[in-house]
Amino acid sequence: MTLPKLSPKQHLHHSAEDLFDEYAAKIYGLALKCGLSAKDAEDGVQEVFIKVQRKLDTFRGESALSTWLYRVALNTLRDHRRKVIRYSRSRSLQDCEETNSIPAREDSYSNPSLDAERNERRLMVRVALDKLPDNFREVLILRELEGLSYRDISLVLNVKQGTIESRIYRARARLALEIANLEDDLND
Amino acid sequence: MTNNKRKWQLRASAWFDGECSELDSSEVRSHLLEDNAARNELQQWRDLRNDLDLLQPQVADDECVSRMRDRFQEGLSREIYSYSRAMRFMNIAAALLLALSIGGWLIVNAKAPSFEVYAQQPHQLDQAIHEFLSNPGK
Repeated sequence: MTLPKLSPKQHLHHSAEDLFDEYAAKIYGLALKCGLSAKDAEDGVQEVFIKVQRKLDTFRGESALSTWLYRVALNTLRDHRRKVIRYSRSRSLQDCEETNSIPAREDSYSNPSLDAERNERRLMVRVALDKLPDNFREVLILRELEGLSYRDISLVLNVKQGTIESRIYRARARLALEIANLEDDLND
Repeated sequence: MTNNKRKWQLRASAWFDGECSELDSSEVRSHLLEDNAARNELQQWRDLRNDLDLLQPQVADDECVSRMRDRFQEGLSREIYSYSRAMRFMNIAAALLLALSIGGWLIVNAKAPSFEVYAQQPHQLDQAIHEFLSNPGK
């Protein structure tokens, strides 16, 4: 999958409202993938598009509009996530679990014990992913959950493609380690 | 970790992500057939991919999108209102500044009598007095 292509000059014909209609659902999905709850993701989407409204004039067409939008979204959602974490630091573990329980994709089959197992695993992966540094978590989200190519990731993050290649490799190693640690904790 | 091993790991990772050329792909495949550790690592990445796939969220439904649109419109109105208010204040401030500047200029320039202007140039005054005193009969 690649970013939906909009030529740099197409922004001249776009308002923040047009972009909202086109991208809101995608950005909402990205917010959930970044670890926000459904409610926080909605707040995040609003923040993203208000920022887009403020910054649209400064977009100089050096990259595709979609790339620029992803960059704004990722930065805004990162800040929003930090705010949410700071705010919820004092909340109980129960609340934290709620924060982590993103509305998962529904599967065609339904088996309660299997569902419970999947939910447990999902929560563990979520916790492990949240433990990664921002730059590792973001490349994994963009690669594995958004399905972006290395080139698109490098454009969104404004980092060289070679750096992205090695960052993805290290991020995977780190995530595997975090999951293994959590599994060990669970078995102890 | 040797540079060579590291290089192969990165190539295998890129191959796993479908980011290799045809030539690179065949080289990586041959390498994987020979290297047990690399195959294990590849399996680990597959497991991770399956794990991460569990985090794929549901697509936002129409109700959710419409709710977000309402909130965005609301936010936008607030944004436009604050912007126009800020603009209004800035206009008022600019008008006040302009009025003060014009007032100041008028006070300094319009009220100044000609004698004061003349007196502001003492050497000319001295010269006139000197000329008057040296030719009293004129």
